[in-house]
Amino acid sequence: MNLIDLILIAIYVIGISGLIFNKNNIINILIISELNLGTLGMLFVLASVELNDILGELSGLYILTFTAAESAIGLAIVVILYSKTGIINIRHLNKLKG
Amino acid sequence: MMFLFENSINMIKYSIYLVPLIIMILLSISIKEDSNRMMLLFKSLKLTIILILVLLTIEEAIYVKLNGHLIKTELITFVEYILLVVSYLIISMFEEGVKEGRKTKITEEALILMYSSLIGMLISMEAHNLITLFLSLEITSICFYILALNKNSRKVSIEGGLKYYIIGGIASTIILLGIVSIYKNTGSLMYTDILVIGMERIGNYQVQMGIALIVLGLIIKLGVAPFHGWLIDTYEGTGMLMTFYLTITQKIVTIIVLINLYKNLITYLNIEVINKGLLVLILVTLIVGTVGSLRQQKVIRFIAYSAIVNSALLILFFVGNNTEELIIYSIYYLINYIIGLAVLINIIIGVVKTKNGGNIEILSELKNIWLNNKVIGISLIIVLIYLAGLPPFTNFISKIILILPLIVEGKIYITMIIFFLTVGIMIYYMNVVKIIIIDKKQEVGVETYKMTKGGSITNIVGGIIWIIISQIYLDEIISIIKIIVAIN
Repeated sequence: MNLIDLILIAIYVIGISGLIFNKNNIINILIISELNLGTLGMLFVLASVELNDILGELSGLYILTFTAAESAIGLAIVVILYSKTGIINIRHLNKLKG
Repeated sequence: MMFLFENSINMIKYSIYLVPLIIMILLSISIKEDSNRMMLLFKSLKLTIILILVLLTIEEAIYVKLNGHLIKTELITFVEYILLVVSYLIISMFEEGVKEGRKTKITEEALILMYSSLIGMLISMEAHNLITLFLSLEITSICFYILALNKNSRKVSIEGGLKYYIIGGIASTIILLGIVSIYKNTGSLMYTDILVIGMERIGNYQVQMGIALIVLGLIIKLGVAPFHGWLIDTYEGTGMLMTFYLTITQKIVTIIVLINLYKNLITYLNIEVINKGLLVLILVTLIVGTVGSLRQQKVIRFIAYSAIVNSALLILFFVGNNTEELIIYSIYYLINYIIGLAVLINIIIGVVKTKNGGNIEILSELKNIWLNNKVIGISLIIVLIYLAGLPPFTNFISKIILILPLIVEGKIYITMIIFFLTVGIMIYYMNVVKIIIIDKKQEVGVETYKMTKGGSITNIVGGIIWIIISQIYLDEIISIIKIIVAIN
């Protein structure tokens, strides 16, 4: 494990903790999930360079496609939420409790 | 050249799943009248599922396709049949609701998404390559994010869908992290290669950590405690029938993927972390499911809690050593659970308030079924006792054969704890029976109810007949499953 891997894993951990501790905005969540998936795609590409194998780069491309699809759905959910209620704040989403 | 030809033949074979989808979309655009379009979509979806069933019976039960990316065994074929039959049943229930004008909200887009998610599930059950597995799981979950929003006029539904989206995103990144960790250390994504390289370096903790992370992600998607809060909220937001679809399909797919991982990798690599960790999670889930469901008022939250408890029982095969037997028993338990839940949901949906046309939502309203129609009331009580696992019914035996093999392996204390917790599960099912029979009728807000006729009645009768017949031919059913799955 070299330095770049460590940095990328640190970014991933920061993203996960951001998801857990963020209590303000839904757009933040969308950006963080995008960041996490991008980091993992980068890890795939790095591993493929290390192993001299094309499979990892292909997987990175697949992950990019998937990320685009998922963030589109997330944005759609936010748009529905805003048009129905007029808020995009997590604090006001308190109708359901576990 | 021959290789290319074979691959293109395979491509055509797989795109046969996509042709009906394209036809459906074209038809749905071309017809102007709403009700006709809906009925045409329902019919084409049913025909598509029948087409896939016929294809399953025609082609061979065991095969290796696309350079080993897809491998099918008898077990997977059998579970694919179960999945397709269940989704046919659910789609026909939706059709029934639309015909009778009930408040089962379904749109054309949701139907097409159900079909796409079905294809994703079929691929992910056969996948023997990690990136294929990941992509097919994501086809399914992207469809599910939208299906969870199908009542998007309510704020509750949007909130549940958003929670599902966030947790699903976290789970898929965790699975992906595991896949990266495995790829970096072995240089391959195929199960067989990973097994060979992993056996050489048996002490390599990074491969083991990768597999453990994949299992963790799958378990978050299954909704095992302590990752269960999102599941209950999501199910409360969607309707009753969509909840039925989401729980059953998610369970079937996740369990088969876990069985694939277990049979191909985990048994050979001796990963004890997964076994011990899963045991703790199962015990926590049983406690949380039992305690949490006692204070619920809504029917749908009750069903959601029963779903997480049952998913904990279904992954018990991970803990034992004699897995081949236990896999058959958990498949048998799964079939029993599906039939019980189908009858329960049919009864609850079949009863409609005459004033505003809505379904039963609160548990105390279930008493009106007993007061209106004694036959349906008795079958409701039979189903509740069956799901609870009380001795005259088959579910008792299907639970006990899941738990008893742990005693043989010497894990006596754990088995005793699980037995105590199954008593807790019985308590909360019997609590509902108590509400139905003994509790007094609520005077405030009493409304009149009526039973609707039609296909739901045949489902109820069929389920009750299975509940009674399956006790008589118990040994035969288990041995038939053993023969189909080809494990002795």
